[in-house]
This record gives sequence, structure tokens and C-alpha cells, in this order.
Amino acid sequence: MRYYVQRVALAILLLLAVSMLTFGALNVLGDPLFNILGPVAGDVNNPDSIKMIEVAKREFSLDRPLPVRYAIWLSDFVRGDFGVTFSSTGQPPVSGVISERLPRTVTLVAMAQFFAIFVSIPWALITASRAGKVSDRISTLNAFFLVAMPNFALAVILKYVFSIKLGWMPLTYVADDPLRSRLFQMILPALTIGLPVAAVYQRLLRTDIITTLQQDFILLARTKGLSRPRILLLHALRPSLFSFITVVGLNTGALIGGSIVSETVFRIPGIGSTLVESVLRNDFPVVLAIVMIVASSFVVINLLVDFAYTLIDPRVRR
Amino acid sequence: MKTYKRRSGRVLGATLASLMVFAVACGGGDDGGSSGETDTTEGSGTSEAPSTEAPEGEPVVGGTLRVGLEADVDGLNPTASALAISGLTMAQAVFDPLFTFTADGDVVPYLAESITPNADFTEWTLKLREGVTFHDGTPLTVDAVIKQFEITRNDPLVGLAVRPYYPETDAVAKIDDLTMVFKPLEPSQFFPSALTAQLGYIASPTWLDALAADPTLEQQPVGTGPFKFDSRTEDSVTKFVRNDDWWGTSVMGPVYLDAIEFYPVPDADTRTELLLNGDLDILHTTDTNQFETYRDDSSLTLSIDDSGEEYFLMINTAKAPFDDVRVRKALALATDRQGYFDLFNAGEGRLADQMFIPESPYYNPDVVQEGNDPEGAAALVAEYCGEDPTAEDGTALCTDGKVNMEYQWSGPSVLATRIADFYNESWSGSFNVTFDEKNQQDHIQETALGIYNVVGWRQFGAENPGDDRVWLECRNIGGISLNWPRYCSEERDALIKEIANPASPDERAGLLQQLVQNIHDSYAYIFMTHSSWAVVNSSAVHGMCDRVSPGGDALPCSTNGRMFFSSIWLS
Amino acid sequence: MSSAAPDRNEVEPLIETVELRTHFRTPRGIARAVDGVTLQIRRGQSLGVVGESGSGKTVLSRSIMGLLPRNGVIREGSVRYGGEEIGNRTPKQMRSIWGREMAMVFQDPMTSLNPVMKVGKQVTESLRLHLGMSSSEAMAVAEKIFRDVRIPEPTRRLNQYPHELSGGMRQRVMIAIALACGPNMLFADEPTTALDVTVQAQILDLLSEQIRDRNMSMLLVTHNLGVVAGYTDEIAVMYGGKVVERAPTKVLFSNVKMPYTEALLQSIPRMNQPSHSRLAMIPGRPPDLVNPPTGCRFAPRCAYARDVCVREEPPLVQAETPDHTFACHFPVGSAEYHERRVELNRASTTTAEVL
Repeated sequence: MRYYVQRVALAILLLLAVSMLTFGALNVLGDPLFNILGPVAGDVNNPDSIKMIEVAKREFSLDRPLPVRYAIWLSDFVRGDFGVTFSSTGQPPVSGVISERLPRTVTLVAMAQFFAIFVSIPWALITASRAGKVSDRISTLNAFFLVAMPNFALAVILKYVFSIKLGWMPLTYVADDPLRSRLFQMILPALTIGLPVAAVYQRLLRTDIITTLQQDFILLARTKGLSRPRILLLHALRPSLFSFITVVGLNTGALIGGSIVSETVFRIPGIGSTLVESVLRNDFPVVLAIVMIVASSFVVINLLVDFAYTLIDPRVRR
Repeated sequence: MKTYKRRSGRVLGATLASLMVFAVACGGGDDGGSSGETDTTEGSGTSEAPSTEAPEGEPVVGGTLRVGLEADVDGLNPTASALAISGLTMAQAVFDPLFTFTADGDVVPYLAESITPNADFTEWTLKLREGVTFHDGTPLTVDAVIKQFEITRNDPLVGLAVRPYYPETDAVAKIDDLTMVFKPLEPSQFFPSALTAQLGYIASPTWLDALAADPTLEQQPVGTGPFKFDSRTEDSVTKFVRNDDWWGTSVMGPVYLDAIEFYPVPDADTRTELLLNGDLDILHTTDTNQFETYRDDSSLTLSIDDSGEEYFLMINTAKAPFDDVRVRKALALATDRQGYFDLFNAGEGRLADQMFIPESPYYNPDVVQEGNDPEGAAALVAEYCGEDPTAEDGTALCTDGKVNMEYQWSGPSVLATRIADFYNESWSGSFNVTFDEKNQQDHIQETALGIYNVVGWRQFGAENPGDDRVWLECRNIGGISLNWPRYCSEERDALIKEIANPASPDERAGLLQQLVQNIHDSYAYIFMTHSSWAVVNSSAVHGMCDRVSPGGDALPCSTNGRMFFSSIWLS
Repeated sequence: MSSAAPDRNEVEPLIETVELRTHFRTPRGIARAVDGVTLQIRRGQSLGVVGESGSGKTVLSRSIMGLLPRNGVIREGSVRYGGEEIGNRTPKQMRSIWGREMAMVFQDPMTSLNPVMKVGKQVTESLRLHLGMSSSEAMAVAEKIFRDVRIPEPTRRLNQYPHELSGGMRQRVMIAIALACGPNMLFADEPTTALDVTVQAQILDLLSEQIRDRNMSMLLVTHNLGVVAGYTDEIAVMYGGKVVERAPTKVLFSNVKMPYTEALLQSIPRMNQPSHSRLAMIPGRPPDLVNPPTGCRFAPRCAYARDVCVREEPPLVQAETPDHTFACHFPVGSAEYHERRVELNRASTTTAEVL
């Protein structure tokens, strides 16, 4: 119990540090005024423009010292108010942007993670049980190919093969379609980010399963007359999952990163594409909110991974 | 569906421009996926009915038209949103402009019933149609027009292009509910053209009031148009449905479509695939690489229009060394126009000599854009550098007999960088070129504020060429200058004034030809190519060219990528 | 527990190998881990296979059971189970025999139980697979077997994980797993080596008791002749992949023929010695299985070896005692053996004086 209290406290500290760094960096590196006022922001010799600049600065609290602004932002943030976007009207509220777009990205990343896990596990089991054979070597090649290929290239290939040539899959995502079609439309985008990650999982899990298969308890299981698939699934898999779930947790970051490309190629209006736009526009409140959401989910998922160890290995419990 | 507005700096130029009835995409190579500054072959004023179109039979009511757009809009608020081609396309489905251009290029009343100038064209009395209501039930009166005018003028951004042309007070005056007066600063016979697009798209005043309290409402426009807002998810799909109470039905015929769905698809290849796949019925594009694909598919109808913008290199004449016309001319001479065309245009489009295409009545055949003359450039530069010029701060403007300059573009973009490398190669004989890649915001800002030497740019091509004055007049030089090159010529300003009030159409053509000459002689622009817009539709789409004005004039099928939907039907 | 009734001799052996060879392909060449072993185990009988590590005894037991991988392994000769040839069966074909007809108890109960599976499940697995029992039926059976192998609080234990049990308890669980489906043939591979000295005897008692009660046959592999002494009917001594001496247990202990067996006997650890003080008393190392020495494979380490031992491999010959075979040119008790013995004693005395 105490262990978890410590972990959670550490996580909160970490998030605070992330928010401070991001807040500071964003405010030092760019000028949000352009986004609010356009070229007027740079027209510093014109009295009218200067007046508009001052009004905008006051309205968006840009005239306050950085620590004060951080404090304001933080106290709003913990209460669920992510601030206003840096646009001429200050609209929409950042929480509005996030709450509309986040569910799509979460669905995408969850689906990608699902694919990655459920592709990599059978893949690893099969290749581990045939380690060194031709099929295993071909699979190794495939895995390296997937890992090495940039996300956007994979996206284009998947799209070309399954949407254009075969016509099995829709080309793009349409936010107004019924849920079932939208989930269907998410398959290719999810595969785009899930497959390379699946390849990473597979490499790791395959090695661990091969190690497990050398264990005496596998031999014992064989002497019981269990079939090979049964041994792999019931005896070899679970003890091999430790580094796997660690990496699953850590790769959530990679999946979110991949979602930026995937959302762009398949036209999914999620937070990945918003993040890119907002960074280019110096729309700090949006960037900050997204960074915090990503960082928080990363921390939470890795806490969950810690917890998952105890589910997998009774020896860690207590 | 609840959605929110975002404003991106990229379309700012477009915002300003579209208010003046034309659109501009700033800078070379900033279109992302589509191959920016390319243009086309078969040009003409407005795109004509494709000759392949077979007799179409009886129009059918019903169906949803799926439209592929090159970009989404931040919002559909005519008083504040940046409406480029995509935005104008969507806007004209839900709003009606007060006036519109006919296929012949005349301006005729649309939502307005009539407009009458006084003798010296300084006051224009506008009469609105009676009995028109907005989608929210608000009746159309001149209060709506006046409210919209004032809000637009006071917007810090979009007001930039309005404020210089109206007096601070009494620019508009109400006479009765359906009659009002516009009093522009200067007389112009062509004043109504200012009311054919964003400034003329009249929005519900009730909605405009609500907007002040909740700006997110600008995602849900309320106008008088043939379609009304249904739903919208930003960056994905926007749906409009037929307005069964449209006033235009009685004068211009029925609206056939049940609904329109707009799909913004920035990637031109994807847009094409969606059309080929049957996921879209119609799209527009500037990507000339796709044109061949459309021609090859007999089920598609392609129409190309390059009467709009020109792509050119723009020179800041207010800043040394380009404050000297010899240096500007040298840059033009050094530029490998033909090489650019061969390398970046893939066999489509044509080189531009001026802001008009040869088919235009205002085309000046005597004006030829110089280029591909490195020796001539070298001679001019030798002369200039021989004088050992220095900048105000004392730094030398020439090094090793070459002029020092910066070329700025908006990046990161692979295409824009390749173009920069290409220019550098052709200029390096006479110029020491420094590359200055900026992000879009800084690029626009520095161009507007005159902190640049040379940039790639796209503009001009207004349907009423007189409206291009906003880029050309001395009065638009200041802190933020819409006259980006900051080139002031009293002779040019006088010409522009005359163009607004010619004695005859022939005189106007002559004056415009003189303007073309004047622009050329300033060497502030190096014209490269005419930009092409293609509109492509599947064989199920009919009636694009059956649009007429309330007065019965034929209206264009599409204009520089803008599409119109009131007459379309699906088979 | 010698109870070889005369009539049983006529009965066909339960397990029989003829000239069984199991060779491994290694980068250095072919390792002859088992090199022509012929033996029989009758129903209800126990055979102890004794030898140093590397003598091939573990490979022999796994080879008979068919557990070795097929890649890189050459298996020749015949293995018959209940009169049926099983030497050429694939693991897939063996599966119906494993667990149900044959089972194995491994050396190290720490690593041989699945650490992430409750022991109850590990016991019931084969019951459900082979006997088609439901989960609750299997649990009831498992509980009974736990009682049989004297695991206290069996109901609670069934729900525990291996790490919650002591080493001896885990070995009992492993025996329970092996016994679960009531197999005819049990292979026990050093079942007590990894255990505390105090529990070793308990486990061996338990094993022999269960063998007797269930009328099973057993092949008990060990390096410790002391272990097999009280628990097997017959002993086969292996050296360098071959059986070098074989006799009923009592006979062997009273009438050793092979000097190697004699050395093993002398190296029996006392129960109060740590279990890892293995065969420290036999000088030299076990033979290289890739390039075995010519002649008698033990000759290089044999104090009684003479020239002929290095030249000629001694054949397996019948001893004067019944059912007793051995392979040695100068067995214990022969004239040459005594002659050398005297010399050795003299030498060791001299050494002692010097020291």
C-alpha cells in the first residue's frame, strides 16, 4: 500500500515538473500574439495596433509575470478548466477542443494497442515455438521491416492496398457516421500505428518465450502429455509477459506519437493533429493541455503496468 | 454536433483578400500536399460547360452531394472568418451574396433587388428583396446588411481591407427597412462587385448578436441561402440540408439536392481516390499532377480555370538593395522562368507575363515578363555594384561584385525548399542569396510588415480587376501594408481611379492595359505562372451550369475552384 | 523391496530397450550420450540407473520416454513399451502415453513447477486432459493424491502457488502430478538431489511406497548408489553412455565386479554430508563423449587398467552370480586385480609416511 502511495506521489511530482517545463518552454520560445491579432501583433509603430496589442495582452493575461501565469493556469487546470485558446475571440475553451477530439484519439490508440497486443502474442508464440526455422526467419525480417518503416509510409501502403486496390476498407474517417462505421474506419489507422509496435512486442516476447521454453516446468508440462499449443498458451506465455507489459506501458507514448501521422493521413480529427497545428500556431493552452493529457495517461498506464505485474506473477504480490 | 473554431495564420492573407472578392494563397509552396504554384493549359474567364456533357434529361429531386474541399474553414462567419476558396464554396450554399458575377463577367443583383448610383457614383442606393427570411425566421432588412458591414469593418483582421475605402462615419445609412445607401470614400462605377462575396454574404442579425456572446456559434452559420446548416465536425464533415423556404425557388427554379456534405481533404491524392472510389461526387484541386488522371477517366468531367491568381516573385522595393529598380530588373532577368515551368509544372498550365491571361480583354500583348537573361542581369548588377552602395547601417550591399539578398519562404516544406534551391541556382551568377525559411506566421507577418527582400506569392485575378487595387495603391503602405512590395506610384494611383470610372468599356480595357504596363515597369513582381483550379465531378452530377441569376442571366458553372450548388441534381 | 517372483520372469517386460543409441550433433562432432544400451524393466519392478554426471543416465531416461527434441538428435535402436515399439513415435504420438502411462519426476522442484500457476491446477491438468474429468472431479482426485503423498492441509495447498511451499512439499506436489493419472511407468530423475538431506529419505520412502501400492515400474536415475540401495530391485551402472555393470541390487552390493562400480560405492555420501560433495573421490574426468577413448572407456581413470584395457573394449559378460553382467577385463576379485591392489596399498602407505 505504502508503495502505491509513494508511486502516486512521485507521479504527481513528475506531472508538475512536466507542466512547468512545458509552460516555460512554450512561453519563452514563441509569441502567441500573432495568433490573436495577426500581423497587427508585429505592427509596433502604429498607435492603433499598440492599443490592440495591449488589450489582447490584458485579456489573455500575457502582461503578467510568468510564475503568476503558471499559478493561474495550474489552479484552473486542476479544477478541469484548461483555459482559453489563443485566438482572436479566445474561443473555444480548450476543454471544449479536448473533450470533442480526445475520445477519437483514445479510441484510435486503444484500438492500436489492442491490435499490437493481439497480433504480437500469437505471432510471438508461433515464432518462438519454431525458433530458428525458415518461418521464424521470415517473420524476423518482416518485424524489422515494420519497425524500420516510417509510420506515414506504412499508412500510405495500407491505404493503397486495402482501400484503393482491394477496396475492402474505407479511405478516410467521417466523424458523423454511425459508431460501427467509425470503428470500421479506424481499423487501418490503428493498424498503421499498431503494426510497428506489434513487431517490437513480438521481438521481445519471442525471446522471452524461447527462454521460458527452456525451463524445467515446460518439460514437466510436456511429460503430462499436454499439446504444444496448450503448453505455449497455458504454461509458457504468462511467465514470459513481464518485460512485455513493461514495454506495452512504455509504448503508449509511441502510439500517441504515431497517432499524429495516422490522424492526418486518414483524416481523423483527434488531438494528434490538433497538437501539431497548435504547436505551429503557438496556441500554448492547447499544446499544454494535450501535453499534460499525454503525460498523465503515460504515468497512469505505467502505474497500471506495475499493478499488472502482480496479476501475472503471484510472487510479486503482497 | 458541437464544434469549435480555430483560426490559423495561414489563411490570413486569404481573409483579407476574399473580402475584396478574390482569394490569395500567400507564398510559394505552402499548400502542403498539393503542388502549390502550378497552372494549366486551357484557360478562360470562367470555366465553361464541358463540351462532353450529354443531354441530361429531366432533373431529379433528392440525394446528397458529397463535395471534396482542399481545406476546412475555421468558421463560417462572414464578418470574421477566413474564407478562402473552400470557405467561399461552403458559404455560398448557406448565404446568398447581395450581387453576383454572370458568366459574362457583369455584376447583377442576387439577394439585392437593385442598386442605383447617384450621378457621380459616390452614393449607391441598395434595395433589398421583399419577404426574404433567414433560416432562423428573422426577416431580411437593411439592418442586417448594416450590422454586418459595421462588424466586419471593426474586426481587427478582416477590417484591414475594408477600413481604407469607407469614411469613418456615415459609410452606410438606412432609408427604410428595405432601402439603404452606401457611401464609399471614392466614386466607382463597379462598387457592387465589393458585395459579391464575403462582404455581401448577409448573415442573420439574430445569429450575429448571439455570436457576440458565444463565438463557437460561428460554426453553425445562419443565412438566407438555398441550404441551411445541419451539422458539422471540424476537419471531418459539414452537412447542410435543403432550405425548402428559399426565396430563390420562385425566381431561379427549385433546389434539387436534399443535402450537401463537405469533406475537407487536404491531401490531393486522397481527394482524387475518394472521387474515383465513389465516396465523393465533386471536388476542386490545384494539384496539376492529378489532371491527367481526371482526363483519363471517362466517367469524370474536368474543367480547368486559370483566370484567377498568378504566382510570382514579389520584391520589397522599400528596402535596399531592391529599392533600386536596376537590381529588381536584374533579378527578373536572372530568373530562369522557363526552367521553373519545365521543372515544377509537369506539362500543365502556362507561364504568366502579367496579371491577365491572354484571353482576357485587358491583356496587354506588349507586356512580356523578362527572364532567362543572365548576361543582362550581370550587366545591371555590375553597374550597381560599381557604385559601391551601402545600406543605411553602413554594411555593403554588394560582395565580390554580387548583390546580397535574402529569399524568404514558409516552411518546412520539401517542395518550397526545392524551389528555393532552384531560384538560387539561377540567381547565383549575380546575387549572393541567403535562404530565410520562416514558419507560416512569421512569413506572413514579415511580409506584411516589410521585413523581407524577395518572397514567392500568389494573388491578383479578381473577377473585377479594379478590385486588385488593394494590393497596388500608395495608401495601403503603412505598418501593415497590403501593398506588400511597398511600391508607390502616383501615376498608378491615378490610373486606378480612372479605371473605377471609365467613359466606356473600351476605355477601361485600355486603362487596365496601361496598369499592366505600369506594374511591369515597377519590377516589383516577377510573374511566373497562372495558377489553375480544376473542378472535377462524377457522371452522376448534373446541372452545374444551369444556374441563372434572378434576372435570368447565365451564371458561371464554377469560378476559380468555387462551386455552386443551387442548380445541381444527381442521377 | 526385492520381490521378483519366479513366474514374473516369464512375463514380458514393461519397458525394453535394445541397443538404444542417442547421439547429439554438436559443433565439435557427434556426442554419443547413450551408446547401445539394452535393458528391461518388468511390471512392478524398479531399476536404478547410476553414474556420474555426463554418463548418459539422464539422456537415457528422457530418450526412453521420447522427450528429447528431434532437432540435432539421432536416436537408433528399439524402445518397446508393453511390447509395442515406441522408439520411432513422434512427440505428438507420444502425447497419449505421457502423463497417462508414463510420468516423470524431476530433480529440482524449485524450477520444475510453473511459478505462476496454482499447484492444484498443475495437478488436475492431466486428469482433465486424459481422463476427461470436470474441474471439480479433478480437484477431488487431486486432493486425494495430495493426501496420498502426505501433503498436510491438501485443500488449502491446492490453492497455493509453488513459491508458497517448501522444497520438500514441492517435490511431493511433483510426485502427485506424476501419479495423478495412475501411470504404469515412472521415471524419477535425481528426485532428491536438490532437497535437504533430512527430506531426501522421506521422499524416497514415499516414492517406493507409492510404486508398491500402485504396482508401478520405476526407472530411478541417480549419481548416488546409496539412494538406489534400498529402493530398487535392480541396478544398472552407466559410464560413457554404456551400461558397464548390471545386477539385482543385493547382488551388486555383495559382489561388485566393475572397478568403476566399486569406486562409486566408495563415494556414497553419508546422509550427514552435504549433498553436493559428489564423486570427488574418483580421480580424473568422465570421458569425452565426442571422442571417447579406445578400449575400455574407464581405463584412463582405472587404477587396475592394463595395456589390454586401452586396446580392447571389454564385452559385457555374465558373472557367476545370476542376472549379473559386467564389462571388465580384470574385474574385482580377479588375480590381476589383487596384484594391483597390493601395489596400491603399498604406495599409499609410502605416501602417508612421507606426509
